[in-house]
Amino acid sequence: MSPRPGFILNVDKSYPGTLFWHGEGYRIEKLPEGSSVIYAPESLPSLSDPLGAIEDALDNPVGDSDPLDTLLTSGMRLTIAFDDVSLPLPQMVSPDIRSLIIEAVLERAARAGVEDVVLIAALALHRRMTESELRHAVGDRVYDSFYPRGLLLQHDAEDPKGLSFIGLTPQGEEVEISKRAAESDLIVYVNVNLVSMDGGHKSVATGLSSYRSLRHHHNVKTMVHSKSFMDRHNSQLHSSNWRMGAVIKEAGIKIFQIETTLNNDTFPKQFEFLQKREWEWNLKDRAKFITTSKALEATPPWMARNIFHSIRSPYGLTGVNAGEVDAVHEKTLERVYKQQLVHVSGQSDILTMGLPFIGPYNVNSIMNPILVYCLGLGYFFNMYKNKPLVRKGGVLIMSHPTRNEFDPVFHPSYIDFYENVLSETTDPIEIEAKYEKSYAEDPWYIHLYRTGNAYHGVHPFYMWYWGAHALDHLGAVIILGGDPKVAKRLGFMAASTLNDALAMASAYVGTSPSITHLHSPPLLMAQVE
Amino acid sequence: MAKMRGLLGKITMPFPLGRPTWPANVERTIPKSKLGANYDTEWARRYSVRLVRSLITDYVTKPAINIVASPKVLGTDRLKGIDVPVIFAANHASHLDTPLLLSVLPDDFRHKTAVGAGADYFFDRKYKAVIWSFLLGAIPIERTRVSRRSTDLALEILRDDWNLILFPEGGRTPDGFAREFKGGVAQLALKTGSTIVPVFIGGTYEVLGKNKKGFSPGSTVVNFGRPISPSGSNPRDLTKELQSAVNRLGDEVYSDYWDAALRSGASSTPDLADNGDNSWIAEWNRPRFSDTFEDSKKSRWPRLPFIDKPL
Repeated sequence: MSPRPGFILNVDKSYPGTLFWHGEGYRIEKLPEGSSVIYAPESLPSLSDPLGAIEDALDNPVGDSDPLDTLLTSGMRLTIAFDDVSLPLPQMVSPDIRSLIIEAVLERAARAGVEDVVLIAALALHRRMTESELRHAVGDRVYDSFYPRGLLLQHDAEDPKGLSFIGLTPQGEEVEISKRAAESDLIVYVNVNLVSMDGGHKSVATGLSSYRSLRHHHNVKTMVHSKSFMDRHNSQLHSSNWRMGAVIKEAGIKIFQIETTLNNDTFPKQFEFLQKREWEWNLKDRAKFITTSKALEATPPWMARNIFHSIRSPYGLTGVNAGEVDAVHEKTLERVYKQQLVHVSGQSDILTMGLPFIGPYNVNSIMNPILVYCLGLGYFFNMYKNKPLVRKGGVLIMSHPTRNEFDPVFHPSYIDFYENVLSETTDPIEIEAKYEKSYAEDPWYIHLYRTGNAYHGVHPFYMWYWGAHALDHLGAVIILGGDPKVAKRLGFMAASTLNDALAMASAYVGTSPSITHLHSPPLLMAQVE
Repeated sequence: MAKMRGLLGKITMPFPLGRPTWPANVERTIPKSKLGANYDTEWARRYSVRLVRSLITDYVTKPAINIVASPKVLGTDRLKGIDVPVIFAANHASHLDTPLLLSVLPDDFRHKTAVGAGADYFFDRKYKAVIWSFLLGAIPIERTRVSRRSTDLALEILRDDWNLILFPEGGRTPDGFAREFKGGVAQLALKTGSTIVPVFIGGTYEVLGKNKKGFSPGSTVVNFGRPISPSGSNPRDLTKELQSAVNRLGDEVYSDYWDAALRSGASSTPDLADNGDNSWIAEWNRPRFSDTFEDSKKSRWPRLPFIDKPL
């Protein structure tokens, strides 16, 4: 039976309730009659022979590119860059798709006699990966061969000797990327595409760049005009990256892009019910829901977090394409949309969503309040094409405990941002103008970024800008089940029950609003007409 | 026992209490031997026997192997998602190889795997045949000649979706160097279309090599390779490919993945069978697994805190 497409449920009396993620837990909420619940398409079948598909992609590249074998020659410099720990979410079961591709590329490089090979984790301003995360991404064999020799690197966007200025775009945007990559005869980029934002020229132009370069598209103006940043052709973030990509190409830097797409198999068997439509839950699913949700309620948050972060997703590979960046990325987008796109007619007054325990920036860590904001207003709100699911001036209700908890190792600058910046203002424009530079250039944050496992000092600012379009669009944001003090600091309201949240929202959208719920997991993207 | 018998003398009982005598004018038909390649191992693959064997493998063999051979297992990621049945083809240096390999096989394979064992050595006595069939799921394989019976049995096992462990060298190495692979594995794979998983086993020669008296506990390694599909090949090429793959896996263990890949790309992978015409220099230079990993040099027992303190 072929997988079912996405589905929109119109809530009536017979409706059983809807699963809402709530951080390291989940609950069933009853939406008012007349509400709509958007369900993602069912998981597409995965490729039966991933290794064969990888070899085939390397042999038959798309766009203006020769097969990989003909690009590899003895004596050349080869750099293999790959996406970092922020993808996919949660981390996939071993072997990670990146490790399979990297090995396939290395085998060909070895056959061609290419000895000068360096692997770089394309971190941009993300935190350095831990040993176990790197091992997971590239595989033990590659790690044990390359890391001890200093040939497995993590991109350092603050190493003045390790960066190379490539040029300016017609708009005056500076393009600066890793020197090793820039001076290589070929960059092979290994990407994992979980959402349509990933991949394309963003891989190299962002992943291997520096603050000097990133600030041209990671800013409030660009983000407000990226409608949405999940829609590559209507995203200024992507337009800027594509302009930078053109500069990189003009400079003679050759990129062989390898992009992969995954299906919607986000959770292993024990948590499979999370992805099912609630009215299709069988006795086993209900028993699992009751036992796990009750157990999680009684579990301390740190322990629940550890349990969830140890989950490995059984994602299946739905496609792999290699070759010229643009052509590859168009194929990737096709597959991502095929898996995630749901057609929705019209916007609603209220958009509800449950936020999970994980986002791109808290893998194996705490989802602090700024990351909750970013996940809701940045990522989930932007999961649309054409126009947002909620009308201008509408209300967003997102469910998450939103505790005042931070990870001092991974997110040191977030703590100061929360305490010193958000206590003054939540206006992204003011924050950008007044505070960004000092955090971006703070030597302590730079030191922690370069030598520890800390996100760059400027990263919390980017998280805030990430939600700027939603802030500009929405009339109010209510955090369901959130800590009231934290919600207030973020500039939002907190409600303890869904009915309370709806009552609070009525002040902005009236007493009989239209409501849409974005059901997750798995991820979906709405094409709103 | 013979001494006892001698003391008691030969006790004979008259028929029908004793055995009947065979009339001299009736031709005596010698019953077909039920041992060696003819031993019927079907009983050892029944569910009940498998269940007991898996308990013994998991709770007796595995802990014992961990104590004696401290195995380091590499390359299991290469086995993810491959279709059963598969033939695991490994180099062979010790009687330890089979229990070691069985105990480190991933769960998907471990309890439905039979082992090809020399019919002349493991199945020449009834008690040996029973023990090895029961403990290892062994099946008799003729090593000295091509036997239709052995081939048919192996084919039948693979067709019943059982995996098979075979040692293409046909026996244990006498000197620590591998020997040339025979073509049986390739022929079997080509006949059944089964995937071959090359496996390199290192360190077992040092722990319990041929002609060694007793165990010398030490570290061992099992490195699983990328599965080889037999389609579109002939037995000779497939055998060569298999031997190269095992050589490369050995190279990966003794150097690292990337160096081994580069050497493989340049067709200069060290041959595990290269004994330098029996020269002592080759023996001197023969890589030993225990020399490779730092952790294998560590004490097998935790150090007591006062040991490191200055006296």
